[in-house]
Amino acid sequence: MDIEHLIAEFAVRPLGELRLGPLALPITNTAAAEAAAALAMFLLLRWLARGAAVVPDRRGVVIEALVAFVRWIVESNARPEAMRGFAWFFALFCFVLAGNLVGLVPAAFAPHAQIVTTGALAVGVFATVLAILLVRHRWRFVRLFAPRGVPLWMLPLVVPIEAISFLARPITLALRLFANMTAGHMVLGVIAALALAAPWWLAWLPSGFGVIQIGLEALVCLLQAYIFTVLACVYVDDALAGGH
Amino acid sequence: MDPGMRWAMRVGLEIVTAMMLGLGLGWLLDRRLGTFPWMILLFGLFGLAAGLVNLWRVLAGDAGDGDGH
Repeated sequence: MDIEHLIAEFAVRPLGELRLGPLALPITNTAAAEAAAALAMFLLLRWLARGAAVVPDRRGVVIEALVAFVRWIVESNARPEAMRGFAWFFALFCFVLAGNLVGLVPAAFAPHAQIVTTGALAVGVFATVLAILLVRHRWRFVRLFAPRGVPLWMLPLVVPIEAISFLARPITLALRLFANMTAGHMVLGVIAALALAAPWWLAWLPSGFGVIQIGLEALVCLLQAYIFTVLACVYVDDALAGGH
Repeated sequence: MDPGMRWAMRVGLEIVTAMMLGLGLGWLLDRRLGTFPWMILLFGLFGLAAGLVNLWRVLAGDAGDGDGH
């Protein structure tokens, strides 16, 4: 069993090209899987939302629970003001969850096991935080790197630390999701390889573990979407807090 | 989220990324200024401190109630 076999499932391949005038955008399996996940989630939510009413039916109960869950995340991790951006948090949670789960479909590609995808998501969160800061304070927001009440002689120490901690957050956000998804899929790959390599009278053991592991992965997908949203809440809350 | 969970999920990654960022910035500054070991050492320490700061902020629950800022 060589390592190349295990990481082959993460290989990004172009499937086609999208020609927009002079631009030729390659459509990779990452982009296709992410788009499929987003479309599936969109259609699912549309279908579920049709059940929402004063007295909701079964579908309505599901979407109400989902909305209540994200609402709970936002309310318990950010100040009430953040609820104005509830749609953004809800979209973020659903998108991350869909991208995580699509990797569990047999033979599908795992888009969130690619650092580019999770990095782009983190850049989106970072851009939102930056936009809030810019709208509120213009360019004066860089003053937040020098908190009030800090003695002048400590500023050369505090400012770089604050700046690095501000810049490190989107990186950890991207890395956490990427690492969790990649690790989970690698474990699945190893178990599958063991199942194939095992003699017929022992193959039930790794196969059974594989089934358990897929269930565990589904849990991890949900947990990671939850954590991503929680941390986005914390960052947005921090941006809203600045300048009080 | 339960504080223990937060700790478990953040502790390593937070410090490592902040420190890598600090080391990277220090290395770039060193290349610019030609002060080889000093900036990378200084910014490595800054990065370590920044990682601890980030960790502490999330562990402290409601991250920054506007008090420090």
